[in-house]
Amino acid sequence: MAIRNYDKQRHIEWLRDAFQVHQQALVAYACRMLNGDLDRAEEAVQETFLRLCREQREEVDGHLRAWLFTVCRSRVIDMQRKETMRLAATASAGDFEGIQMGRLGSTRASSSDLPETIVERGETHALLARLIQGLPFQQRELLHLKVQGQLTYREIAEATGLTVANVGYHLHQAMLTLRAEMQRVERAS
Amino acid sequence: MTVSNSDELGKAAMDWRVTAYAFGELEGDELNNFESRLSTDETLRQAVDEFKELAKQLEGLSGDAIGLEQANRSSIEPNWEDAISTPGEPALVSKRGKHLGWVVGFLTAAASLIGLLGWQQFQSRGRSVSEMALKAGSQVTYEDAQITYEESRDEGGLANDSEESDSFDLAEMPSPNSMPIPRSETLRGESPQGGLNQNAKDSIDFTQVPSSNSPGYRLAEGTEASQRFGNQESLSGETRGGASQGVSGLSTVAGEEKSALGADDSTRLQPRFSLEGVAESEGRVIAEQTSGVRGLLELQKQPRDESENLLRKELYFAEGMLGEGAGAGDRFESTIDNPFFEVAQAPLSTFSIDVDTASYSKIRSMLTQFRRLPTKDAVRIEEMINYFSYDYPEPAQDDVPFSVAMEIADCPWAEGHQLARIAIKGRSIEKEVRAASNLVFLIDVSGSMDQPNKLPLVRRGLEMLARQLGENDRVAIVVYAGAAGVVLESTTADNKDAILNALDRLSAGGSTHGSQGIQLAYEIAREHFIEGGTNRVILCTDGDFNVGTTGTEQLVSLVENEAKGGVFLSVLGFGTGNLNDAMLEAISGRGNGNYAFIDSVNEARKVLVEQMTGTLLTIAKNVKIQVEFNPTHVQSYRLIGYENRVLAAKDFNDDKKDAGEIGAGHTVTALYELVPRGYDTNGVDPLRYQPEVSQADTTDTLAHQDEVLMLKLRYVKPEESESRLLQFPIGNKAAAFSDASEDFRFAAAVASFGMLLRDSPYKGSGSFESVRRIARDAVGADAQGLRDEFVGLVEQAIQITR
Repeated sequence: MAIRNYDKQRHIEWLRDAFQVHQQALVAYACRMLNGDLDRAEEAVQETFLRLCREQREEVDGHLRAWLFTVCRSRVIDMQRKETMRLAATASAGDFEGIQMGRLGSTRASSSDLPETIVERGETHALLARLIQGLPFQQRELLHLKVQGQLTYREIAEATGLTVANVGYHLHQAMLTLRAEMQRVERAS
Repeated sequence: MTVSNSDELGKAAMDWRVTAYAFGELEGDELNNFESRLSTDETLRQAVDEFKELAKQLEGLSGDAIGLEQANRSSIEPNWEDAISTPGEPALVSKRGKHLGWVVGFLTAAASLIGLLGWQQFQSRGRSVSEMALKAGSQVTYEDAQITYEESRDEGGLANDSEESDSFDLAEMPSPNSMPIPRSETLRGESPQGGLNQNAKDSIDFTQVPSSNSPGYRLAEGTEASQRFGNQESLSGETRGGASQGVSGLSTVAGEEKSALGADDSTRLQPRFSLEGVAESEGRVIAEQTSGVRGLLELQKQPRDESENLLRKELYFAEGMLGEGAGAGDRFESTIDNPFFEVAQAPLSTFSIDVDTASYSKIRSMLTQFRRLPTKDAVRIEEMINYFSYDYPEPAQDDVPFSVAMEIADCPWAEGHQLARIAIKGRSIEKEVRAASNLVFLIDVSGSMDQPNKLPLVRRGLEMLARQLGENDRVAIVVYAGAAGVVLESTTADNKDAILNALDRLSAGGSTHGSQGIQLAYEIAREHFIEGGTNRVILCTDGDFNVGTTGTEQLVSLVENEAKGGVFLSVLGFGTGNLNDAMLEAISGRGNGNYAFIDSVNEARKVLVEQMTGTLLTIAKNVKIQVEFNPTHVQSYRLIGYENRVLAAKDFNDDKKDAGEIGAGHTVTALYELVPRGYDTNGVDPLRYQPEVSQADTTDTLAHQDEVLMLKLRYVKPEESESRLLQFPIGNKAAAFSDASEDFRFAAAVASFGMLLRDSPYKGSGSFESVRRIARDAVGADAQGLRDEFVGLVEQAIQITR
């Protein structure tokens, strides 16, 4: 087949292009999932691409983005788990629940201000970001995959192992919550 | 965000489809149903509006205060070459098992080969087969080599470690049955002296000879029929020497870099399969036994064709194993530049033409947009040279679709060397005169196309093209994304408004998979097929596509079949991330069309307006070139570029071998770097068994001795299937470089630039500054400003490397 004409050189070209196209979304997603830790996010993404190097291209073509996010997500979850365990080892009982709920980063968030305070400062974006952090882990993740990762429902389903309907439902719940919270905060101010 | 004061929306908002719609995820029937509900339900509309607003705000979060800049990203980009060769698992142990199996299999096959051939040759000498086989395949002998082999393979080897690695397919190992019987007259090839080691070095490479389908060094039964230059004596001499010389050319590449091999080593090279460091005596014994075998068969370079090039791999590993010199073992080129071949041993150079220009566009965008030197693998010198238009003469005769010219001058980057430029011009067709066209634009409108350098550029380009078509032409537009759709039924091209409106309506959105786009496009093209006209599907994509067939192989065979039926395929790539660059190039090749990469409005104009007839109209397919050099005048030669297009000599006359296409008005340029006879023997000892070829000797006895080379060209007319042959003997004398034509000097500058970007071992004394100087001098009329742009690129490179 003519395809196999273009061997290693083309493979590298393909890898490089894949990197250029997707890395930003992946880093954005990972960074959000790791609560702003850019270094570890970059690490996760780099590892994701190193994994890609080992894949046969035919396996991945056609759903490359979903594949990348699947791998990146696993990496990110692993990192979070390690972090959870590390913190759990040193945490007090009170913190533990917070950690388990995946609100790990609230102490490392861009702001620990109350939502109301943020609104006073007129920073809607920061408000949204803050609210997203308050979402349950799964909804948060799906949201990041959709927004930062720009994946389709189907790709998200592939990356997370959920059904498309599940994805739709959870995303909807997330949106409802966000919308309600935004309303509440704005009403309060 | 406008906040409604109450939760009246509550009920309507419970529907998860509201969110899906806001994210653009609904398709087909669901979408239609939802939208009809929207039209009647006010509260639903409000909910949707709110959610859409929210979605927009969420998207606004993406690029925010994480502070990501393009420039920073290179810090996390892996070193791809290292990455795909060192899969990262620390323990070699786990892979060793796999590798062991591979090596054992290979050795067994090698042993059986050596056994078979040795038996045929040494039968009379009374050596037993088993003895030979034992020596060759003995585990003891190879054990250490085995291990070093693996390790260097991990560092510098190719291929991923997946089970079905196509880097080495045991099934393709040559079976003894596939070996041709050597001709008896070539027994002369054996010699007890220094020639031994010459052959020894690649004794292993050699026996790895692949079956007929595989590339790498091939066995051939003899030389090409009717050699033009030289006498019969040197013919058979060639069969002996050709082998080692061909390989030694390559090994010289390694040698130059590693400096482990001295200048005079081409006759005394070390065994490549690193038998050094292993029982030396045993290694040499094997070499002795196989040298005779070695000498019997001719080897010619073959393209990386259906499967991986086994010999090249062998070289990569061997390079890594030489273990000496700077950087040995820890790096290697992903494509080896064509090396120099000695004319006396390999007088024929064969390759397929290529008019693709994508590589140059990519290099240009790397340099200008990203301010980085392009990666070496992205640099295809022939595509760079062919990007520019040259003032070659139109073909004179009516029935011949090409004109061919040759110019020879001094080489600016290597003292004493010459450059020979082959210039081919396909017949131009006046736009008014060209045959009617039936075009189907197949446009990728997936979400990823929604960037300023993609879909809008597609629209502009196609608009420009459509404006040039007339009432005899037809245009249809098919889009594909989540589903395929016909945006414009095939309509005659004088309905400009309809066409332009349809183009206007194109908008991106939806996911990229699951469509029947390409099949639909072909259907429409066939429906409105114009006999004797141009029938073509023009695919516009950023490469991230899945057009409804389940794999690339199906896609390629679809394209191939349609091409046989007369509907060709051209591919226009857009955007900076062509994920499937290799596939796009392959399908356009199989589809008898060309592949261009459009990164700007100017480029769109160039490809779709100025070169439209070329893009649309193929005047010849399967175009192959074979050059035979006259050893009287030329000592060795090197084809610059076309590494991926090289063919075996016998492929030239094999019509089943696919090759490149030429469009109307296209020019094709190929450069050879020549070492004139007598200039520099490069340390090669005078041959013992071939007469020393000199001008004084041969003028009386042989014909054609005033010719420097013979250029043969085979092509197939688009509607035919048998090839036709053109032959052009060339007798130019070389001019001084400064006296060469402007086109020649410019092409040389481009070639030099390409070699510098590839960090080629043959770049000689070239530098970005010298390239700039030569190019500036040769800009000429440059109506489109493209040569000037090239000079700008060279200056970028100077800046970057400062």
